[in-house]
Parts: sequence; C-alpha cells; structure tokens
Amino acid sequence: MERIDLKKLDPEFKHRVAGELGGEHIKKCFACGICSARCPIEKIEPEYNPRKIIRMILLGLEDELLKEEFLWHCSTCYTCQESCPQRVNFTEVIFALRNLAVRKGLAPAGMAAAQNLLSQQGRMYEVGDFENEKRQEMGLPKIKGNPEDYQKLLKK
Amino acid sequence: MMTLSEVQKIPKVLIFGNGPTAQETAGQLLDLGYEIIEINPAEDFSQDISCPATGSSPVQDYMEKWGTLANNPRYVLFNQTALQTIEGFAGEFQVRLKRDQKEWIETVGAIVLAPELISTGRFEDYALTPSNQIMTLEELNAAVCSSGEGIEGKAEKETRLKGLTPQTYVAFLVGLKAEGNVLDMARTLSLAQELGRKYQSQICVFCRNVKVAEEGLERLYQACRDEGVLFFKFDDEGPEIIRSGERVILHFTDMVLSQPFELVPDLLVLDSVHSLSEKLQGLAVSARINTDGNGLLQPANVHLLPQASNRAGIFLAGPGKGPLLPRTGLEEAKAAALMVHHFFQGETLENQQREVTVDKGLCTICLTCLRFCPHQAIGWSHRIFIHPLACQRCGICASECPMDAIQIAGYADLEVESKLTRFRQKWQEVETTQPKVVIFGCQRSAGVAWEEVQRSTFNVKGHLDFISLPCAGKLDPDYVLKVLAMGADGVVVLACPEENCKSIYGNTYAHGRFEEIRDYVEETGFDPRRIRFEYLSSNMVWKLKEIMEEWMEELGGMINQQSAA
Repeated sequence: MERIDLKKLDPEFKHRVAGELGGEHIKKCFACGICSARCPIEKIEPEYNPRKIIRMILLGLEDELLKEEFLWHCSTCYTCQESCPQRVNFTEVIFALRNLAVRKGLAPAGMAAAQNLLSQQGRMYEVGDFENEKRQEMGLPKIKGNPEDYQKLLKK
Repeated sequence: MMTLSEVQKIPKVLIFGNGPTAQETAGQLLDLGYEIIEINPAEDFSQDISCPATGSSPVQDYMEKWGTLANNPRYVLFNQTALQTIEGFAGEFQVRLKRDQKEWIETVGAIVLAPELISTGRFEDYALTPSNQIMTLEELNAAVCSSGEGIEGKAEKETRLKGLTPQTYVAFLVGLKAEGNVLDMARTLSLAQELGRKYQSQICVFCRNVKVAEEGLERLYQACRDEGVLFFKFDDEGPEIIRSGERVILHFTDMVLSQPFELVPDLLVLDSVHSLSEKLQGLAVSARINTDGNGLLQPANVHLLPQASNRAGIFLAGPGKGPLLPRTGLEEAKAAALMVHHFFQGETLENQQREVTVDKGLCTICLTCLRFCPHQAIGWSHRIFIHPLACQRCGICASECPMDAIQIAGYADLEVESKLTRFRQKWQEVETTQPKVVIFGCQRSAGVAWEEVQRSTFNVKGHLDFISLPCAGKLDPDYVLKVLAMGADGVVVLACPEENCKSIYGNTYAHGRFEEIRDYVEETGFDPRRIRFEYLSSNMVWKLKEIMEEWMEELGGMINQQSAA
C-alpha cells in the first residue's frame, strides 16, 4: 500500500459527517471493533468493515470512502448499532455517508435508476399490463399508476 | 525476647520529602497529635505548575501552608538535609541525617518517605535533540497553563506556539517507549484539548494504551475525541522517527486500516521520564527498602499495600513509587498519615502474636538470619535480636539458620516433626497400594486453595496430607527428606507465584532450596520424580486438584512399577 501524507487528508470531513443527520456521534468511536465482529455483511464481504469505515471518516479519507460501492451493501440490520458501547449509531452513519455520496454524484448506477423510477412513478417497479394480468389470474384487483399524484407530493 | 507489649513507640514521625505530598502528610499527622520532623533534601520545594486536569495548586498555596506548619510547636523542618541511614526498628528508629558537614541522629517512631519525582523530556529514547519543532510536556504545560507566572522562558515558549494555525498539525508521543502512566496521559489530554481549542490545529496523539484510570480522565478522553483529536494506538513502539535536517518526519501504520502514513508535525511534543533526583538515588539503599525495576520506592508486589514498604514502620506516600497525579499524591499523604496513626494505636496482625525464639545455646551469631530477613527485622549486639513488631513471621531466617536456632511458635521444627510422625503412624495402618503424599504449602496461597478443595468434591486415589508453612521460604530441606524417610511416596512443595511473595523472595528461596533437595533425593536413591515444586496462587484451586488427581495417579503407577520390578 502506498504511504499517505496525513496532511493531504481533510480533517474537517469528520466534522461534516458529524453535522449530517445520523452522523452526530461518529467521533465517539474508540475502535473496539464490535460492529465489524457482528456485521453479517462483513462475514461475506470482508472489504465492508464498519470499524474501518469509521476510521476512514475520522482520518479524513473522504474521496476514497464515498466512491466505494460497499457503502450501499449495508443491509441495515442494525446489529452494529445495537452492539456499539459508545452509541455511535453506525447504521445511521451509513445513511449519512450515502447522502453525502449522492450529493457528490457518487451513487451506483442502479441507485440512480431506482431513484428515477421512484420520483417519477412513486414505485420501485412500474405497474404495467403484464403485472395486472398476473393479478387478475390470482383474483386481485388491477392497479393504476397515478404517478402525477406522487409527483405532486414530492413537489411539496 | 522482647514481647509486643514491651515495644516502645516514640510518638514522633519523620517525614522525608521536598513537595506537596510531604507537606500534606505533615499537616495530617500534626492534626492527629504527633510530633513531626520534616526533612527536605533540596533547598527549595518542587512545584507542579497548575493545570486543570492534573489538579495541582499554584506556588502561593504551598508557601502559605508552610507558614502554617512552621507556626506549630510540634513541627520542625530541616532544609538541604540528606538521609544517611535508618537504623533500629518500628517504634524506635535512629535516623542519621546530614546537613552541610554536620551529622546527627533523630530518634522517631515511624517514618514516611514522600519524595517528589523530577520529570525530564524523553529525548534520548526517541533519539531526538531539542529543537524549535519539539517541546516536552512540561514545557508545553508551562507555556499553555495560565498560572505559571514567573516561569522563565514562558514568553519564549508562547511565541513558539503562535505558529499554530487551523492548518497546522501537533503530534504528541506518549507511552510508546516505556509503559505509560496517568500523569503523562492527563497532561497530554488536557494540553491536546487546550491547543485544539486555542489554535484549531489538528492534534494527533500517538500512544500504546490510553491511561485513564483516574477521576475525570475517561471523560476528558471522550471530550478530546469529540473535539476532533485523533488517537493513533499501537501494539509496538509506534511511529518511526526520521530526521531530515531540521525536520522530524513520522512514519507509522494505522492499526485499524493497516495503511502506512506519513506526518511531518509542525509541533512535536514528547512525553517524560520520571525519576528520583540525583540526590535521592540512594534513598532506598539508605532506608534499606526494596525498589522496583526502575529504582522507584516500591516493588510491584500485590502484597504491598500502597503506603507500605517491606519494613514495618516505614511508610511511603506520593510519586516516589511512580508518577501520579498531584491530587492522588495528596490522597496518598492522607492514607499514609492514617496508616501511621493505626501503627501507633497498636493494631497488629494476628500472626504477630506468635512467639519467635532464638536459642542462645545454638546461635553462633553468624548473622545469616539478619542478611536473609526481607523485613530488616533482625539486629544484633552480644546476641541476635528479632524485633517482634518488624518481624512478619515468614520463617526464612529459621530455615536458613545453619544451627536451627530460630523457632516460630506453630511452625517449629519439633511441631512439624510430630506431625510427620503422626502421618507415619497413620500410613502404617493402611494398605500400601495407594500413594501417600505430603504437601508443604504457603499458608497464604496453597493453604487457602487447600481449604477450598476440602469443601468441594474431589477424587483422590491415595492419602494426602497438608502441612501449612507461614511462607514457602520456611521450607527446610530436612522436612522433605524426613517425610520420605518416614515412608511417604511423594512430596509436593507449593509456593506463591513469582514476584508475588509477601516476604518478597520467600518463594524464590523455596525454589532454590527445592533444587538442592532434588540433588539430595537423587543421592539417597529415591526417584526424583516423586517430589514436585509448583508456583500456585490461592485461587488456583484447579491446579491443586490437578496435582491431587492426575499426579497422584501417575505416582501410584510409578511406585507400583517399582515394587513390581
């Protein structure tokens, strides 16, 4: 691994994360590692390591962190949050990081597509004829989209 | 022999020290009604500069307190005075003092050693020399803390700090080259917080363990993290320090990310070495008390209460034992005063009721006992004298005495022998296929474990007897040989774990003696596997059971093989 000059990193990043909704307690962490030890995602994907993510925030590795796709792999099981002795609320830190990533345009492509659908249709899946046929076979009523209503809500 | 009730206790206390701990001890003891002689080895008083986290008072407070003490008719102070020797025993010590060329003796009942330590920057360990970029914790403390009036160079140090900005980095190196302590950590945390608040610089602390075992430090540690201080913790010696001309460069690997980093700090702060001043280096030798590996005034032995030395009547208070927060030093002063008071009030341990006798007919005044006594409790004139208050009844002298002239009631040679004779009678009455074993154990460790085992269920294939000794150091080679001669199949000797003997080195002597015994045993034709030595603490009941169950079974196998052969 290449040696990083600590001064080139941004010491303000941790304060910015602390200013985000959900990231308030990020600096309480003392790296005990319980979060990583209990994280189910870390078991199958060792690169996703909550303790290391927190450390990257504290040291200021902003760009390296926000571009990582694994930020979107958190299953939000909340095990880390329940286990943390310092109440860092790591699941909510993930939410804060995701928001920061999106603002920088760093969300995965699939997220952008899903976001589009959601904002236009009000649903994650478009409801079309195929879906309504299936519903009829099962004795369920048809569904109409009403995307305009949803867009009105969003505009509020 | 003098009895306990005959021991005279002179209600005068000598306090040795050059700072607030000694001063507090004096004040407390004066309030309790004692006469105080205070000895200050230096000409002025060591002062800790006020700083919120370390809780020390400004110089004025000290000077005022001295004034109050000086007015008390029961108090006398000798400045620039050295302590040469401490002769005598608890209750009546003769302390030889020296000032200028004059020497004299003060006779006191108890002594409190309460020196302060001097702190110097740890340049040598980090292979650094002072420069503009580097400060010690003490220098930084003086520059930052507001009540350091009159400190030379304070203005100069403040100028060095003016270079700090929100873009600059300050690095603290603490507890990396030697085990850390709360004093350096408290100073580091409060200074890190102060610098961060004042200059908004990024502060980085490089340490091994964060020592927060004092009131308020855990909270301060959290506050530092909340305010953005970065902590880099290491399992090893920490950053590699590289000098490049005037600059110092730190290379280190973050232990959480396993990522190598580089930092050129704008200000580097080094932790300190705390030691007794040169004048005081010989204090422990003069007082004939044991020290730890660093020459500080108390070995790291769990049996020594914080204020106790290995010599009855000599008490310790303050950082002389190791760096402390100043407010802890003051607490220790109060504790020491209380211990002195209890000492004078006549509180003694139960085992000190046991009589210790020296047979004048057998004693040749070889002084072996005097040399071996870990408590300095033996003196001599025309005959050997064991002081009943200083003696802790460990029995090391009794076992070392070449003439067996010393006996301790309850553990006398004849008493042990009569126990062994009873065992022999018992063994003669039982069938012999199962092994007969005698355990000699220190009452503090093995004795306690033995009682615990008696209360539980255990499965022993043989006959097991326990002989309690006041200390494993009381073990006489004769005992082991006699036991084997009387028909025992095996002997076990149990001593307290290393560095945890109440008699300091009783367990070490026991082990050494055991090795000698093994040679004798082999010479006499016994299988040396029949004797066993173990270090065992009072809560290692599992180990005692293991010996009793597994080893006894092996032993049974051994003797049956030998008798079959």
